Amino acid sequence: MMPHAPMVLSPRDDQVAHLPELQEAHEACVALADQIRERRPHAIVLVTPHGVSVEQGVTGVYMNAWARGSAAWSGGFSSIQVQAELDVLASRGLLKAFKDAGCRARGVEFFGGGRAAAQLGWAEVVPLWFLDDILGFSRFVVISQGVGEGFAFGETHCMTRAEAQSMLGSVTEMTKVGQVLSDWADSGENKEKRIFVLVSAALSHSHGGHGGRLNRNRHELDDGSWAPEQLLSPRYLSEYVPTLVPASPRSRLASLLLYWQPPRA
Amino acid sequence: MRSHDSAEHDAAAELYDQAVEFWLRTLRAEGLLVTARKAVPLAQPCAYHVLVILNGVLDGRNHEIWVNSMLSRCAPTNFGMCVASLLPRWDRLPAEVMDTHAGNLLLDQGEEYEVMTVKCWFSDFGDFLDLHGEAIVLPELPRTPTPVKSESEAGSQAGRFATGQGSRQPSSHANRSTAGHGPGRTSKQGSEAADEDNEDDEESDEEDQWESMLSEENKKNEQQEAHIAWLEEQERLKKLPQRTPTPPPTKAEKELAQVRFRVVFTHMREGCLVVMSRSHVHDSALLYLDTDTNAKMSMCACLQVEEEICGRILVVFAETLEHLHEQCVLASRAGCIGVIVVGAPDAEFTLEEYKVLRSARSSQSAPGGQDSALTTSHSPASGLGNVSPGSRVPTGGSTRSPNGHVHTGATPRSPQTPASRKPSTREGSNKGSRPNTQSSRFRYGRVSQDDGEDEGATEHEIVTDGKNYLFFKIPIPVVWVTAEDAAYVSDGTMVSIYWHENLLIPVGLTARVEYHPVCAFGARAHTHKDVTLFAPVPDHACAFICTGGAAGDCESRKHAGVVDNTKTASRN
Repeated sequence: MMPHAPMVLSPRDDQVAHLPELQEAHEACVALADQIRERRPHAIVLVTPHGVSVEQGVTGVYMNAWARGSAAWSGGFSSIQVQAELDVLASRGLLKAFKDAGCRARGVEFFGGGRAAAQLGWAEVVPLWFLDDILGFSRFVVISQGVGEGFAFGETHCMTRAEAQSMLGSVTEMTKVGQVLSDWADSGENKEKRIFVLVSAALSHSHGGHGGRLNRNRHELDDGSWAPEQLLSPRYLSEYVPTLVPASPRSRLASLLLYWQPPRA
Repeated sequence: MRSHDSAEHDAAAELYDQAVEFWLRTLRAEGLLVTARKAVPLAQPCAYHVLVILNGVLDGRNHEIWVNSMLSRCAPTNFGMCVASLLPRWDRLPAEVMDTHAGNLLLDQGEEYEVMTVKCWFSDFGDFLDLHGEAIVLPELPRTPTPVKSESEAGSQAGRFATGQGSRQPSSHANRSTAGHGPGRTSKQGSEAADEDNEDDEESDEEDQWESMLSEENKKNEQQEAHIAWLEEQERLKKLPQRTPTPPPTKAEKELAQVRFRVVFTHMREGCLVVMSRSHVHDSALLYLDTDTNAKMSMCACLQVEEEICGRILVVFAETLEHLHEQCVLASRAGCIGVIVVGAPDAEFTLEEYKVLRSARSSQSAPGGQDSALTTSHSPASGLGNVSPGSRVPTGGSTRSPNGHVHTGATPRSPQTPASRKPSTREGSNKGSRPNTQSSRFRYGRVSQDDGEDEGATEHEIVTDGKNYLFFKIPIPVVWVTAEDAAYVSDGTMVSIYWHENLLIPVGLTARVEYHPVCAFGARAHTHKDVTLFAPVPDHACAFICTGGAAGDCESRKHAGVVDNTKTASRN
């Protein structure tokens, strides 16, 4: 499990140099990459939440022969690029396994396939960047997993992406996807293969009490106006949010005890 | 109003992150599916459903095989971050996928060391690879037969029968007792009925004793059969061709030995330094360091016992069994967790010697065995081993440790004189070609640095009374390495390079044949395919330490680049 925030790539950058925890996360990513590297995986299944997101939470399996992209995010990190070879046979096998099991999975082919490369975004490039030196002999299978409801289509249902993730149906379906993935990794075609599942995931986005407002599609501010559009932009997140002083653990715990309530229906 | 919302989100975010961390640490799904899920709407993670996929991957698997490590969890901004790994334990991996690369050398980038070429092979006490001949598969020695009952014991047992049942034999008693039962006996008087009850009890006692006798008989027969099988195996081993002496190094080998290769160990991060071990060594020695130090291997450090070796693996040169024992004892006392024994050029352990070691290992419970004495006392540890036909007496060997604590050998040793030392042909022939070998050995490998005195040859380092060997017990796991040479690093680090250029030529066997016995031993054995893949890479030295254990993916190892010795091409 690796975070995909591009700022973890350059913890000594001037903008984020004042965040010591970022350096810690960076070193942890390096250590994790070492663990993977020294086991020399044959294939790495990269599960990303920010790849091609198809309506109704269809699981997308990238079918191109290779992929490349940059970690461009909020006007920065565009110089960090990776390209990786995708394991087409494994992708086909996994897609077939998904379909056979009744999962809603589709193959995704960028630009009509052929020699075209699947496009990777920051959520895929950031984890792969730490594994840069094994991209030559380990092949990848990229699974892009959307959510069943919400996100781009959530405005219809007035549901945020996060709320859609936690729906029981989504949880059940994702569990099934994981089980099928596990069974596929154990199947005979992958015998004598070392397959790693690399999850690109961040945790909460509302630390410091700001995530909730920033990530909602629409939110009414205190003065009754709508949240400005830039609040939702990555640039705002990269430039403004790091200046926020994170709450101390003690205050977080206190707030946890005081204000925690069951989620609203 | 807004502050309340902010606190609410913050609390939910913290709760979510903690729940995910709880799930990753314990693999208890309720942390993710219940607690974290409740916090999702307010915590607003982007990848909760992806974590659920991961949970599905782990679902139904035995959690004991996973090694969890939460490397980091933080929230530098409003984004929470988590770096965690769930990796299967090495020893729980299937044999075919169990990786061979157990660690890396802890060397800085770009650091260069000079090493010498090495031809070595590895084994352990569980497997024996006869590099020069047929694979020797030693059978498990039968346990020491239980001592035959002495006459006094037999007499006492017979006395017990006599006491309980008079002079009746069990069979006659059984016949009589079965004939004695009948419906007419119910009309007898009360005293007679009481006698009958007593007789019934006695009958049951006798039956129990009879069963115990039968079981003892069966046990004795099994032991006899095992002993007979072992003797037959010994006969078979006797008929095997004798181990041919290692031929003297050829001119090409000498030239090769004179070349000091420049090896960039950073290339070994590709996975060329491989530790393959059987499970018992795996658990106790080799990979112990790896698991604790995040798969970073420090086992290559060749330290002396006087130095700090606690928790590390000692790499020693043992020329004789006695020397091996001495170093192992010293190392174990110092807290060493394992020993890799690299035979010096004159360390040619014969099959007989190996048998002695093996018998020592197999009959730990033999009378006279001092299992714990090795690590607790200074007395020599010796026990009874089985006879094995040995004609070669190992040469050389140090007589005492530098601190004089250990005096191995159960019998008085012959005085050590320079003349009594048996010079090894190989050693002599290599002196010129590998001038640093001896010095390095004394510098790094030898526990007992008796440079000032000659190592006297002992006429009988392994004392036999005609039936049994007095052997040396090895108190800690030992990985057996016979090498014609070893790799030395200027800072004391030693690596053993499997130089397969030399593998095929002097040995005269293919790797397939050589490793066949490992396959025979099963467990996590090599496959032929794995081993033969070494051959197509003649220009690369591949370092690995194989104790007959897990097969690795040699195909990827082949492409791993291994030790970069391309600079040695200029030697030609």
